[in-house]
Amino acid sequence: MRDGSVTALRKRAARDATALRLIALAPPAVILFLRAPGTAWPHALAVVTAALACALIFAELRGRGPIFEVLVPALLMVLFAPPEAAPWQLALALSLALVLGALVFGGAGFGFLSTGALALALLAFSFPPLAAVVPETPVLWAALPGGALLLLAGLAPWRVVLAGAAGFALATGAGGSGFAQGAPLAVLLVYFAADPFGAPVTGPGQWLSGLMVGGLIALLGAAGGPGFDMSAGVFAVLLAGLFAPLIDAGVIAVADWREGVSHG
Amino acid sequence: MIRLSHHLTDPLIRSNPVTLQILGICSALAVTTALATALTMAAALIFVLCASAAIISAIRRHIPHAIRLILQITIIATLVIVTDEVLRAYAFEISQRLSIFVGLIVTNCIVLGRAEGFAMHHPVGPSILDALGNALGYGLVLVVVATIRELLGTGRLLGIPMLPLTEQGGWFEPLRLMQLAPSAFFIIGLMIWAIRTARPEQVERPEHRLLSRQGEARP
Repeated sequence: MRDGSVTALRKRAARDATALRLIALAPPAVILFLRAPGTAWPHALAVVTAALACALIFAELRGRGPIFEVLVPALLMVLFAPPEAAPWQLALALSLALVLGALVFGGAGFGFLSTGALALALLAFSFPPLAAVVPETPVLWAALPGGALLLLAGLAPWRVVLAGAAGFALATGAGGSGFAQGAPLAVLLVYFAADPFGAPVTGPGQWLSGLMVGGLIALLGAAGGPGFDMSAGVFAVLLAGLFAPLIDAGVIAVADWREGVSHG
Repeated sequence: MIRLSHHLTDPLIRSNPVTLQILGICSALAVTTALATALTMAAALIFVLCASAAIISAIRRHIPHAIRLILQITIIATLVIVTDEVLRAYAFEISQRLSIFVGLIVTNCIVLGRAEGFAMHHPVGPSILDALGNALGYGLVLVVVATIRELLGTGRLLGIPMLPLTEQGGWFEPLRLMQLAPSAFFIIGLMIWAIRTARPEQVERPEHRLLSRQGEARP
């Protein structure tokens, strides 16, 4: 792709971040609806209703704020929640995550965690057997082009994804993981770890945070067996997300200090 | 008496030690998994706080200024040890469930805070009322949080089944999150939010402002 069109895409993405993130999630969602309509439709209905209700109440109270942003974590929830979960359980976990993770701080972009990861973690905490799962292979495949679009548009910081993969490979000894490990890892990194609001904003911070996520995924998922442990991944993202503001502050402090040294 | 009663009623909600001064948070999230432990803890704190306020207020003119904190802590620790021993003697099971948290009343900021901030400068009567009000305010928060956590986390209150559980054929699915420590933070945070919505004068000044696209600040 020519340089100009990427710049145009990034400009566009900065304006319509929500639309672009929803477009990226649309193909896997469509595949999921086709393959498992029995569980996907009730789940989608419940989470979308809950998410929009929370967002509307807060938009009304505060008199501002994007509303449709909450559909992104809602769709993530539909894709990654275990199929045996009841719709109301998803709705409850998502409402808690949206209110406590984003809306009380002032809405999308003011929180500091990936709300999708928070919702899945709250679901696992509240109803212990319902840990996040790796979606079926066709759904995973369908999620990859959207991930590439997000990376290209700059909505998912590529440093986090690259460093996350490197961290995971380093921590697991770079064993030949193949598609069974690689695709879920890529999807997790792009959609959860490289959250535009949850990931650090400084370049070195993104490298550090990515390495941390990758290492934590390998560390927490080690006991899970041969397959990829999505639940461990979600908790790794959440744990690394807590450190993101600290990492950013550290990077900025170091930059300030170096500036002070060089200019005397 | 009416002149003095605000010492008792103020700390219940308006200047509640937990929700306004954010004191005693540690025990508030540790002992609130069940209502029984919360009630016991509240009772223990009411006794310790009132007794320590009364004693310290009574001898406040005889306490040398330089060693007042040591004296206060000694008095408080004595009362806490007595409470702990009484609990062990007459309510052994519940004292086991409270484990170290009765002993940790010594370090509860509310107790020392009221002793240093109020009892040292006021006569015995108002001191006891102030202590009772603060202890009741703390107890109120504890009871509310524990009720929510035990009811939603296990479907029971004081160990008595309240909501029919799904495993026994009912409709209620316990929220295990409520039995974990973070839920106490969530509930206390939501309570603070509710109180400050009702009483906007408690809200702190914002540390930063949002800029609109045109560049002017808006609240």
